[in-house]
Amino acid sequence: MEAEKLRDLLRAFFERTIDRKDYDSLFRYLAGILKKKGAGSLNYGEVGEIVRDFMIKLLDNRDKFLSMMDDPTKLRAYIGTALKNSLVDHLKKKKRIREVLEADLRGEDNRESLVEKGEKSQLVKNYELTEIEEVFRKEVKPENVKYFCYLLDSKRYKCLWGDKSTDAIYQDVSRKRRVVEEFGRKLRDLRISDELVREFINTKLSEICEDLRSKLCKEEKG
Amino acid sequence: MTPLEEILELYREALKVEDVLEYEDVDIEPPDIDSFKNIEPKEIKEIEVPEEGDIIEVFPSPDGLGMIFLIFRIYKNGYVELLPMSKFWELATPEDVLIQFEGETYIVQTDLGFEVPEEDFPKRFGNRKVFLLGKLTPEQMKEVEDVYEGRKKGTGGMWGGPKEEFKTLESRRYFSLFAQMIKEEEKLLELSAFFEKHREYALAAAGEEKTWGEKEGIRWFYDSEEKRLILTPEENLVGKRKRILLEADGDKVVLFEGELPKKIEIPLENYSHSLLERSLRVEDV
Repeated sequence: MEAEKLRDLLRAFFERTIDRKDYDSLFRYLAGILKKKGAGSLNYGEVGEIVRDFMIKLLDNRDKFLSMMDDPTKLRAYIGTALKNSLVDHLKKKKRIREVLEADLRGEDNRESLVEKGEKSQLVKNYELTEIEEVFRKEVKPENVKYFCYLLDSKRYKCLWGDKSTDAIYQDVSRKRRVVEEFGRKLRDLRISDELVREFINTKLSEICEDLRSKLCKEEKG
Repeated sequence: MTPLEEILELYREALKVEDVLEYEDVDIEPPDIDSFKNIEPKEIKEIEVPEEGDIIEVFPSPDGLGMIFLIFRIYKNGYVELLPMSKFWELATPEDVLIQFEGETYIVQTDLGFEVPEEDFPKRFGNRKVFLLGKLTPEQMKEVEDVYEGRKKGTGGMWGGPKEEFKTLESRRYFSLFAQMIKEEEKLLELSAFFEKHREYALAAAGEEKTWGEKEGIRWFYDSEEKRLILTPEENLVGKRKRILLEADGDKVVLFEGELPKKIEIPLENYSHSLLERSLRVEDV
């Protein structure tokens, strides 16, 4: 669509003088841009929903857009960018919902209520914990996870070594100290607060260790 | 890719300006036109005098994301400290404060503040407009102050990884806006010096009534109340790469360089019609 044509349609939309035919063209044009941009990630229902919300946002910010009417080319680029960013907002939201649903499947149903309550600071923490967990899974080989568990609670996790004596386990853990130190260096690169490290140990690492314990320890298996 | 890396990717995508709008036909039934009838547009005003706690938007943004700032402090030395805000709250570091404003979530970035002179505040942003979006509550301001002063830790617990990258990109955005403002400021000083030097023409301005003129396809109008020179290139020059300058007795000052927009506004204290008429020139870039 020509920049001047888009400008005229928007002006009529803002002034509420737009007729049905022009309104349809404006809506379908915005939906067409969005569909092209978000090809593959959006269904028609989502496109319609985003464009409708976007048009409400346009009306809300009418004064800002009216200030750009002198320069239709710039206005069109601005509209295109703002529309693309509505898509980004939608994808961000969708991603959060996906994570919440995944969390629900794992039984952490409290995360959904966090979103509903708008407890975004808890979500920030969850993102951070997941980031550390991803680094942990990437950097620490599965056979080395038990050393972290031992340092977390030597009594509870010594069963990960089967029937080995306490001395033998201690020697093994000492030999593998560098594995833990290397992960510590990675954490330093992420520049994490002490509080968050503690939270990672108490939540994510504990979960990982419990999972391992349930798989490897005899009493858990039985 | 970790969730934070995915958010960072979305942030990078949001920064891009969509100059070319690609489009494909879609078969979607638009919602009823009447469903927009009851939506009352917000009244958004341009800011006149800054106040602590004001939330402003510099519009249009030089990149794809909105440039929103909290007016954090107004100092006795005549400077206003601005703290940038972002909707990418997922990437909050311990320096950032999470706030809810007008139904949206933002972070106020206490580590990326910069100062702007209080005098003629809205004009400091050149051709951009400065809209007043609203105000933070005293409680929210207290939260920001506590983190800014180091009394409390902000929302995030991590500075590194994708968050570090986010901060680097954010600081570049504001630095480039700040650099543009300084450039504008320098241009203003240069322009004042030019008019001062060629005073014989400028002095004539006192008795001059003519505040408009035209030369080499550029029309100008001087808004004496706002103290702004408004240049309007002819239709056939718009979009072409040109340099508009003033040249007198071997001195030059560049008013604009680049792709000509429809309108250029330049702050100017000491307008002189005769000096402009004599010295304005347009050349190809």
